[in-house]
Amino acid sequence: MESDELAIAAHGLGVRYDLRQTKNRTLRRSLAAAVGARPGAEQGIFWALRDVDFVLAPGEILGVIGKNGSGKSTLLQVIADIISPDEGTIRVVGRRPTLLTIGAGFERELTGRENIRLNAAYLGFSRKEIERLVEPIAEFSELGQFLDQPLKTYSTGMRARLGFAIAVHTDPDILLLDEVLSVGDADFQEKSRHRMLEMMNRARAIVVVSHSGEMIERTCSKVLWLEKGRVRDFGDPEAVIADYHKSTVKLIPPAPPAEQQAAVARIR
Amino acid sequence: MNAAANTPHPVRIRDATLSGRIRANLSDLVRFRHLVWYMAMSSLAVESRGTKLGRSWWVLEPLALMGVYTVFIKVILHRGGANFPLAVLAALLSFEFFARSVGRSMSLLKATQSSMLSVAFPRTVIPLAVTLSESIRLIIAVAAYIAIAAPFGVMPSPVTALALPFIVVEILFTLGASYFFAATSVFFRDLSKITDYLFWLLFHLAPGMYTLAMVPAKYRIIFAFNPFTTFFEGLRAPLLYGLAPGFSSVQTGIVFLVSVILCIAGYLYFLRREGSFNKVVV
Repeated sequence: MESDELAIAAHGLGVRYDLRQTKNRTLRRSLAAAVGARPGAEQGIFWALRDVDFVLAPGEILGVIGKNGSGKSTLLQVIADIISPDEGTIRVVGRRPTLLTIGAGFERELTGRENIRLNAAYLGFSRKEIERLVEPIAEFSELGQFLDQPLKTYSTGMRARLGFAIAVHTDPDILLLDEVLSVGDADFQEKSRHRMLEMMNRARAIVVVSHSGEMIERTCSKVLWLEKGRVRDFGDPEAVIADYHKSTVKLIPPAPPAEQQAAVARIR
Repeated sequence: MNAAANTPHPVRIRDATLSGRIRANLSDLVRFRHLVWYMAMSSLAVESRGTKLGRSWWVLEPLALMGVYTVFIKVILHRGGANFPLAVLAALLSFEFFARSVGRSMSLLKATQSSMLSVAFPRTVIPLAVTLSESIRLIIAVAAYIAIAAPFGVMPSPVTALALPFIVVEILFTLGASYFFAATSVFFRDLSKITDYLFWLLFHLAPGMYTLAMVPAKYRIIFAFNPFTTFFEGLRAPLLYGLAPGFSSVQTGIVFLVSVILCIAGYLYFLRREGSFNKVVV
């Protein structure tokens, strides 16, 4: 397929977790795992994703739904190149697929500005790009003279603001969101929402993981429904979400009113 | 007619094969070269902040250790030859560089597993950045060493430069060991406890607190197998005695070769395990 018509393509994608490495670890097993010995039986192997196939075209927003533990976050990690597949292939066309996170890798002894530089370097920006980004990020964070103070002097809210300011200036071609983020007071939230929408408009493709079927139906152009690591359904939001609700409605009480959901989303 | 066609987007295809991973990782390392630099500079900056004496500790720490050994050997046991404290100091600089690089590579890789699971930088930069920052510390400490040695009548000469190739080889050796131990410690958490003692044992089985000349000739072959013998003497002989190291060029050649092989093998081993680092639940 031509690269221009493709944003993400997964083909027979599988990710395997080896539970023997984490559970019941004996010295012998750990050593065997450390030197890479492969015991014969497939026991203790857990496939977080298996046989996952889908194709996403540029300009599309993919919503990923499924119960806890269905493999949604693992899929984001594979697309972001944090976990490599054990089976099949993933094709990502676009610069810097980024899973949006706040303040990962912050160093408390470094100043706010130094943390902006370090954090941007973790995201793969070059020195030139970093120098261009520092001031817009600093300004967006509204932290003023605190930017030259070590991070350990910051309140939790200030830290979050700095992290968020960095996150919304990354402008990746492929934007990956694990639930929609929001921090700060009302004014900062409004500014953030605005900046986030700009970033979403510029992105070549977006993948959103959410528990809110309503949010996904509103914003996404395609929906991928995962169940136990396999694709249960893939297609237009309306049809997939309707089936998804049908299958879960017996298990969960009716959704709370929208106001309450919004309040909960804010707290998150 | 199609603007997108003029600006090709980079395509990433990841497959599980090792050769695919090597190719991908090498291009990642080029892309993330600035991260290596920023990480190294940050760790140097962080270390010197929050302490009253700051960067002076880079020199003061080995000096303090030298003091401990001098009290123990010279004052209590009445042993040790001329310039004993400086002879010990040269070995300590070399050893501390190795032990700190490997130890910090292990702990930093562990730390990223809990706090950096959402950031996609190649984990292979960790031992690189750690070894780089420790190398900078080592170079500064060696410069300080030359200055400290001058009042004792040990003047820098062209022979001093002979230490340089030995430093380079130790850096390669250390990088390879850092890759190997860091990758293994992810799956075998007890490793960092074991290495603390293993490395000290290797230190004492090399001419650190004594010089190679003090070892009876028939035992020297045992010391030849310890790479630290080459690193310690490679630093000490040119810097302190103004001499070329007192062992054969064959031994030097072997250690050079082993270091290069360890560096490549350690990197490949790390790369092979890297795919599962982020899947190990801490």
